[in-house]
Amino acid sequence: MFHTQLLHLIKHELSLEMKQKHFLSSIILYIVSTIFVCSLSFTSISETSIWNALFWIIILFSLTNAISKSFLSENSDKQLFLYTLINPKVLILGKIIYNLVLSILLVVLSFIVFNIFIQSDGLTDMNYPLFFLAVLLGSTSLSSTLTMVSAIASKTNNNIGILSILAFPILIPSILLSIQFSNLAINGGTTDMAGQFIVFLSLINLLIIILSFLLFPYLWRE
Amino acid sequence: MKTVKKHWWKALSVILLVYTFGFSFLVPLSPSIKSASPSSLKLGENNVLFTGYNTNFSPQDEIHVAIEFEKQTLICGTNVTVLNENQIQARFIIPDSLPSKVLHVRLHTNRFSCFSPELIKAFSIIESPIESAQCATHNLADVVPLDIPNRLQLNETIRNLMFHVPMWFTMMVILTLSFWYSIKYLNTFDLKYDRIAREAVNIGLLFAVLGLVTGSIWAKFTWSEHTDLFTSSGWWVNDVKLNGAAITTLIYLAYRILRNSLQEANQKAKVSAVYNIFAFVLMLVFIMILPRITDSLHPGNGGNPAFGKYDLDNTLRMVFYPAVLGWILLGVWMLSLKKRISTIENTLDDE
Repeated sequence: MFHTQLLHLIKHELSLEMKQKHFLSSIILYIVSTIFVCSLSFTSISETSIWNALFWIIILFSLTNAISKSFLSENSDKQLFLYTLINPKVLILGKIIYNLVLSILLVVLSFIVFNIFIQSDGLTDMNYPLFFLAVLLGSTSLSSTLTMVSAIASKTNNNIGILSILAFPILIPSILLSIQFSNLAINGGTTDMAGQFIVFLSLINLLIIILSFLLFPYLWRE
Repeated sequence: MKTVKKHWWKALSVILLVYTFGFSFLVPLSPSIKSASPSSLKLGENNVLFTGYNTNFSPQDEIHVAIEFEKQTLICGTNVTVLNENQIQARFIIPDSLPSKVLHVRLHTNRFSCFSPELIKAFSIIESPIESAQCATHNLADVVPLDIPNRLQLNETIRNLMFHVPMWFTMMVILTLSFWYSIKYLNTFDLKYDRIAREAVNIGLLFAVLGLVTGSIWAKFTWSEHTDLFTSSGWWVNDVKLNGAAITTLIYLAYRILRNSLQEANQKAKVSAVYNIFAFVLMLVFIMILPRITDSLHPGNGGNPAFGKYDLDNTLRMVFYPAVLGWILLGVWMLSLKKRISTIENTLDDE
């Protein structure tokens, strides 16, 4: 019951996305133009830590933009309809999974574009599998937090402004951990050295998902 | 009798805070040596000038100085002369065999005993094992006077310990109460609990601002000398605890903005309770995890965020723990007053 509902919901989200292609393309364009502006201002970054921090800041802003609409696009009639059909816990889980997939796509895309436009000499030592693990764990916690907070922010009128105000302070721990983790990967660290980052980031992710799971029904029951 | 039973903790809070203020502003700092010149020793004869604080040397004082390394006396000072009430001069003869380590000078008088700042022996010709010397040390101070420890860098600012640190303790207690009442609200949907949670956040923010201000002043006057360790030295440094404090303040300011942007009372209560719980748990995670992976300027850090590693001595403990309890009780008292005010306002609005 639970997983069939979940699957249907994710399918529903996906078909919605396909119908509104302009939204996805606008986010992609947003990412590309942000990176292009950065490349014009930096061209080449010799410090890998600055390269890394810039990458994460671009990811933070693009994901905030991408996820801000996840509860906004649904007008109240449809919300009422969904509410009668499915369990709110399924709904938040479906939204988180869908947003996770979306953000991984966007992050991979930004990594490719970022690498093309902004060079850094220090990237030769990079441990790619570890770097992608860092990106995966980091974007999981970004997207799940942003999903939950956008559910909160959608209750107000000023959605995107409130979303940033509410989410950024909560996101700082995961952003800082992700930046340190990927810095380690860029400098050629191994999985043994990254042990505590993997543990802490996974714990944060788990905590965020459990909290959303427990708290979302109270928002939905409006 | 009933009033006493109901309000004794308020009286306790006042007594503890009066005690805290009295102790931390009236008790003098212990005498100590603040500087030694020259600060590095050379072989042979050295005349070292010690400048103290609160020392009140007088020619009648019996003063002994000795170079120590890890509590072992190595060389006794001779020809100790009192220049004025805060300065003395002593002569040390440095042999060519001495462990080339950072050394201290211990100073004894018949009134007190203290350490000088580190003296560095410039070079040592022969790295020798430690041989302790026996200096004449009679008439030592045997009564420990009541005073606040005088630490290098901290000086008089150590008194701020009774104000700055308890602000964070109180803030955390009040915010935990707010978290608790938000959970209670979601279980009962009784708006009474939502009002308590809201007022607790306001009071928590007040304590956060006070903690930031007292901390900022303290940092300015103590850490700003550590320019070799940190690039910025001023009212704000990039330290993990400061970031934690800033994040906490930002989260709860956002909570207030969220409340203000919602109109309907039940919706406001529900949405802000959800955010309060979500944010509080993640803030706790931040406070628990990040200090473990980054170093901090604060005492007791570099791997352990827990309390108990503060290098407090017994005199400081005697006033620090009452101060913490007093401030927490004051915070709870403020919360109970604000709760009553908001209940009255609410009833008036309904009528």
